[in-house]
Amino acid sequence: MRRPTRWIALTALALACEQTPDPGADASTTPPSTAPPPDAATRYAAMCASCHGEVGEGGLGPRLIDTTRTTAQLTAAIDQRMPPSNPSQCRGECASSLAAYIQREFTTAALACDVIPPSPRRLRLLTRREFRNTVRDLFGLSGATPTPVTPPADCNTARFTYDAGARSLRTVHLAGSFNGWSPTATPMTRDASANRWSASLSLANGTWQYKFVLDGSEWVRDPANTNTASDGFGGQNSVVTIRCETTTPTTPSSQPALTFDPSSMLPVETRPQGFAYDTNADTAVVTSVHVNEALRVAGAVVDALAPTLRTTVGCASLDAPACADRMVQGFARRAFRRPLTEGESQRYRALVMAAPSVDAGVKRAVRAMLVSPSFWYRSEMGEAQADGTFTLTSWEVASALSYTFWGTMPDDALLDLAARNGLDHSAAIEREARRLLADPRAREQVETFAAQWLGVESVTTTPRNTTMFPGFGDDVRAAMVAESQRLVSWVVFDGSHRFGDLFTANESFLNEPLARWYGVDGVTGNELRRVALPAARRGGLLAHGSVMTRYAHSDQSSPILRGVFVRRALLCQEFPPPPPNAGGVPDVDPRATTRQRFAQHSSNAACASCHTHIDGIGFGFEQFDATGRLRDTEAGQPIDHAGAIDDVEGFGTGSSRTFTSPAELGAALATSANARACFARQWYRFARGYHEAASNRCAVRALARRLDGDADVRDLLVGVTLSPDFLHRR
Amino acid sequence: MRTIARRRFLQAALGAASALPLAAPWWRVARANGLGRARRLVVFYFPDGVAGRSQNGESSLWEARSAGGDVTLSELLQPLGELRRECVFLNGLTMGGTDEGSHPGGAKKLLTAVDGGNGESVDQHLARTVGRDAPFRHLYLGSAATQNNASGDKFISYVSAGVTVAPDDDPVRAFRRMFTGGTSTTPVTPTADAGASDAGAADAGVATDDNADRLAMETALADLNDLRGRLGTAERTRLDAHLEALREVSDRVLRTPTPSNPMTAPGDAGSTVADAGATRPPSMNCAMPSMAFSPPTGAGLAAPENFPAVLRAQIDTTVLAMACGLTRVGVIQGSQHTSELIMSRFRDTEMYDAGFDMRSHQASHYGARQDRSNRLFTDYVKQRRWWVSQFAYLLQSMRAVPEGDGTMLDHSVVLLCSEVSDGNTHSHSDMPFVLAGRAGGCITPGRVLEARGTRHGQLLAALARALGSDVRGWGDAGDGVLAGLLT
Repeated sequence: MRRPTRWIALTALALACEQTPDPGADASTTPPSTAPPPDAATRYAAMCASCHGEVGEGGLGPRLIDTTRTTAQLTAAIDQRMPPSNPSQCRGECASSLAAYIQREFTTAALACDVIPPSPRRLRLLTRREFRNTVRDLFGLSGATPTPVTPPADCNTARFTYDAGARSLRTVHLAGSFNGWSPTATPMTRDASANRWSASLSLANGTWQYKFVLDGSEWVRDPANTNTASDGFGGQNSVVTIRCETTTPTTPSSQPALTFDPSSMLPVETRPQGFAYDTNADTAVVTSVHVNEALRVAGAVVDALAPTLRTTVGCASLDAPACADRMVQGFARRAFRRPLTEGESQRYRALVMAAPSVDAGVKRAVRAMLVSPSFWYRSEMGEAQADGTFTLTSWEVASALSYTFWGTMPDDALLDLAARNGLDHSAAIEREARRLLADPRAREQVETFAAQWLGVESVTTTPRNTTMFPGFGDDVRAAMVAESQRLVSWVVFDGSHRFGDLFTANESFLNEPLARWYGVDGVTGNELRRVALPAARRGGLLAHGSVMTRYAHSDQSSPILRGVFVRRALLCQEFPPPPPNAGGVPDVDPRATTRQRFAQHSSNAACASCHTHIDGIGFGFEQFDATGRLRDTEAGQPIDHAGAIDDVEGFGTGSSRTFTSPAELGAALATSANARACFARQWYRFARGYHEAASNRCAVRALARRLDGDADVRDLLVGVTLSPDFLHRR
Repeated sequence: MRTIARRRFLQAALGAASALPLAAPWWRVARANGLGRARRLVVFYFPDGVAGRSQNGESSLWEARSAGGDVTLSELLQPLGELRRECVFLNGLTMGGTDEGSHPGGAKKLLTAVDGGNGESVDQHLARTVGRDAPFRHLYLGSAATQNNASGDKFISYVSAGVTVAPDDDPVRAFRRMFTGGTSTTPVTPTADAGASDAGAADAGVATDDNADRLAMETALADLNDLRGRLGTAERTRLDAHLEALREVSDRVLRTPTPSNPMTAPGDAGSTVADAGATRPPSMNCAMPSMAFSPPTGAGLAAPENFPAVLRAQIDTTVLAMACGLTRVGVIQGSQHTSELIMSRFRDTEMYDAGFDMRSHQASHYGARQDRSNRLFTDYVKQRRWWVSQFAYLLQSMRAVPEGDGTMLDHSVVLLCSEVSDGNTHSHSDMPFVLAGRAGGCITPGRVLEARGTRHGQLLAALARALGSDVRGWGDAGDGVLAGLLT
């Protein structure tokens, strides 16, 4: 917290822009929130873990556990040579503290997973998706989005006409806020028969001001338009309003509905580097943009639902005091997902009571709830225990379960259980987790996870070269993402499938646009349906258009992006960033295949140390172009799609194998313990909202064991809430 | 506590404070205490560096040279033309030796001057100190800056150590937020409120409750204080940020204009700026703001073809917001580092090539030498010139707004920056910083300032001081304010 004196100090300097501050001046002037230098664990994670593993288990760099080097030797090595991409990054104190850290922490004894330590306490801000779902369920809105009606194509075309009457004019121009008031930019054309000048202009929605410019000098308003505004010079501008909006018909229904997406105004979530999900709690900081838009959305939601609001909050026929009580005990408890505190009860009760009418009071209270931090945060703070740790309350568990498996607020059953403190032990948690997983909302949640895990959400917007890929439209793109989501939810929920089927399935879910893009016959309509795939397309997620498109450039495939995707997303293997002077993507060369253009990676030793683990994987996908279509030739040469992958079970484990199709690589992943462990780790990140640190290693390892014996994937999904570090926090 | 401190500050700053109501609009305050200092900061960021000193040692195509009281622009800076007289060309600043050599490392240090972004960025510092009495403390707009679910290291504004905020890439949303009072119940003064199916669509035709927003904000503040009390020191950083955000919006809601009292500009920016017949800035009218932007539908905002229009709209909104006294600190982010932006799709530019995709980051790795027969290099040069031309547009727009005895630019500091110097070597030395504006008389532009080897934190500190902050340095290089910049 800043001290008042700071402001006084500031004013003393306020009148001059003098520049060299007195070195003896008050020390409070250093930048206020620069953090202290990071500790050794943070430094290790940032600089070393991508090569040596998060606890020194080894990776691209050597294993450090139980090192035989002395502290002095380690310090010298770090000081002089580490990290290899920038040896000056960690010298002196940095090097010696890291050496001590490695020797202290990375021993077999220190790393034993005898106990699973508690995980961090967090307030978790609702994501845009969670907010949207929560509003839907809090107000009992109909889930189906009504079909929007788009305006006619020429709706934005405005026609301007000036009747010159008897005047003889050489030119008439249209000048307005749409063309920077240029008196020359928009000439009007004369219809000789009526001495009438006209122009048509495509205008964005909004209100625009304009004038006509006669013979280049005389500015007049539009005499045919009575809608005017002051031009600031004593005259009038004409005003035209364009409103061409996609409208959504409001069909009379007993169930209230919103005609807009309440989450569309909110800022995007900030995902830390290396964290694929929108759920990160650490970076979810409320800014004034969040508050501004929350306030606005709250007003819009309350206004839109006003006719049914009193019914929704349960006081359709109650007077103000009774309504206030009912709201605080019922609706508010659902909105905050816990009973209100004493202060909150008083405040919301007062909002209802002090309003000019019960209707107004309900609106005020609901609007305030939708802006309150008690609504926007779901607490995983827990209650203090005697040993200094914290345990989640039943209310917190109810929210954690529903947001983990449904992406939305708890239902009444969960809240009732929480009210009886019935979620304080694993058996009850597991029972509820499995109940939630059986609900259709869990499929939607798993599909959200799938799209983020694979990184394919942006396939709908990522640019492609339209000359090279004509017809690659929004319908195909959307179907690609949906295909991957459906395959994952099918494998998870179908009951007869196992983890490996994600990578080996020879069926998938296509609609007509996607099937046509893939060259698969016999699929009609826009609904996705299950289709047996031809051999060349088999191989589960790895052969999906979504993955092949996402990991490519606008005009070419990318063996690098594809290889790194397999390493990072599917095997959880990290790489250091490319060194400076690495060179970028080689230019498209009509005479060379992509494979040939990247040959330098293996011929140059500096590149090869990483790319030997990357490019071989990507080359195996070369039969798929940048939009996921199969191809036989490139640059007039037959495609060479021989691929190779090594170290599937971890860098340094060897086990190189070759493949020529996604199915063959998929078979390798399907049986890989490391791929299973990585999937568990990804689910842990998504569900828990943080990137696992070394202290979460044992929890993640234990979670991965839930897939042992080729268990049902749902056992893993449930497992994330059964780990001791779910309930126990520090 | 803070309020008291702030009031004390205002009183001290104003001298005859008793004459001024405490609820005075910020711009009156700023005018009163802003003599001889910059009123605002605009940061203009572009990705992937410039053609600086090449890997083979050829000299930079970026750096301007002094030439007898004038400045000779480099090849890349040519689009500035006579605007060079508004600029100080800073040659040779370095971001420091550690964490050298990467795009993310550079983006993290760019405005924090701390390795790994482990500190607050200077724009956020200014927003919450000298800019805190503006209706909007901070404005962070982008064009395709959040595309592809960009990770947080693509953003350059740090609210606290290691925590970035995301820019708003949607010009319509940004415009509405700034100019429609920002809440659903506030009457929407005629604007280009083109938001098709967003929440604003629900604005029309609903009876308003004038107290609802205020009550909601008061309740939220009380709920937050409860929560802070319950949690003690836990989650304090997060909740402090939340509190500041609530206070800012709360202040804004309380001074939201009514229809009979439309929000007007700080007097000298004028409610109508233009002269009839002259080339006007697009509709610089604070009472009835509008934007010259036709929002594309669907994926259009992210499409490279629309990038220039979106960027221009964000520049316009930033300038208009500042001219109308809505904010003092703005950051405009074009794309994101290691950019996949296909700049060859920008129509009516020298880069345009309908059938060929040239991306920013792709071009930036033009090779070890400046080879004019290599299309990567020649396109990279064209791209960098285009970014400079956009910066020039920003400066022109600011210069077109009269303010006091000069222009808005005269009372501002504008910083052009990227996260690396040479795009191929990823060097963090000889960073491509250009400064513009007279900072209310603190900066004399039209010159080159050689600062070879000086840490760029000293530049950030100088900017902060030009706006009235009392910092003595910025970032992990410690104390120091760039010598020779401020007068």
